[in-house]
Amino acid sequence: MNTPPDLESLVHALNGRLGVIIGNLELLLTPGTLANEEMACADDAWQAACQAAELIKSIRQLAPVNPVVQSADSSRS
Amino acid sequence: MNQPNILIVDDDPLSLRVYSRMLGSAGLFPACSNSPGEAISMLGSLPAVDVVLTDLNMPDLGGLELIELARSQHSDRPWLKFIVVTGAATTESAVQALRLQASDYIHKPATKLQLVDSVNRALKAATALRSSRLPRESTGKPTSGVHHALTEPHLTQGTADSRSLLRNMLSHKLAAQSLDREILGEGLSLGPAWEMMLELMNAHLQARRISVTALCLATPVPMTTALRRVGELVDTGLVVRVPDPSDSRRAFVEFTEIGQAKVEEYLLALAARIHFPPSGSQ
Repeated sequence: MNTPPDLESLVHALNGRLGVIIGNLELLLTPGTLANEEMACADDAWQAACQAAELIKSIRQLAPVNPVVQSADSSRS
Repeated sequence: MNQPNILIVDDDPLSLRVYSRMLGSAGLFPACSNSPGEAISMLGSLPAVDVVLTDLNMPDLGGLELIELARSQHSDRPWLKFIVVTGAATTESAVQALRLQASDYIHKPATKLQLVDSVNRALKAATALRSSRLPRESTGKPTSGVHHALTEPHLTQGTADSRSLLRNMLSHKLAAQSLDREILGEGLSLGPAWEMMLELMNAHLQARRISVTALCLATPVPMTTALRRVGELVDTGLVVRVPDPSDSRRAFVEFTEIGQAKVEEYLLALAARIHFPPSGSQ
């Protein structure tokens, strides 16, 4: 039951993390945001960025590097 | 005392918080839930909620299932509007959201402007629908909206009330079609040409144009069949193809006078049937 996530779902999850980062950064840049809210936004953006970094690592492990060149090479051999 | 009029549903706490902050910073007052099941019961305890913003993919119950369940369990609130937010947008889920009358389908990452704009539009539409229903519910008598609508020659160019009435009826009709499809299965034809006419009316009421391709995608039949149906509708004089002046590869589909009148007539007959059932019928 413990199947590893596929590339597509990792990319979708990354989209979600980017949404959290962008949203919180937008709020941080909005004039009038309260100081305690700013701190909470920064914390959440940081947490989402850490999760995004982990997701990117997993995506890089799953996605072949430069797949076009690799497939061209393998078809020649 | 502010009663929340928006409910945000997302299994991810970080997303819940950021949406709540975005809406809060625009002066809106949302309630939050990280479980679709809880959200359904919250709708019961929060009568002021008019708009539900939901994630598409959640572990227990997806956003589209949540819409279906909420519509069936809270059918006394037909004005409820749903906005789907997703990091996994697909044409299939977008079309299905459209069929469930989701008022918007937003792709993550969503900006604050996008989110607030979408929620405000949904709130406005829900408020109009809610207020159009209140007189009938408070007096217990049939609404005069149908009487007015029946005597108005061109409803879709009419008042905001008559447009709300048509939207309401269209929403009932599309929900009924979705139920038909569930019961009959995808294999049985439910008249793709007629579905196209209803989609076209939906677009017309929202004052947006619809391309031939988008119209074909909105039906559950293969593209070639859908294109044939569009051709038949053109041949029978119900719709016309209008080339897009800015892109020669694209064409829009528009109602003719007759086509528009036909769908209006149908929706009014449906409205009359709902509000004034003929004697002897159930």
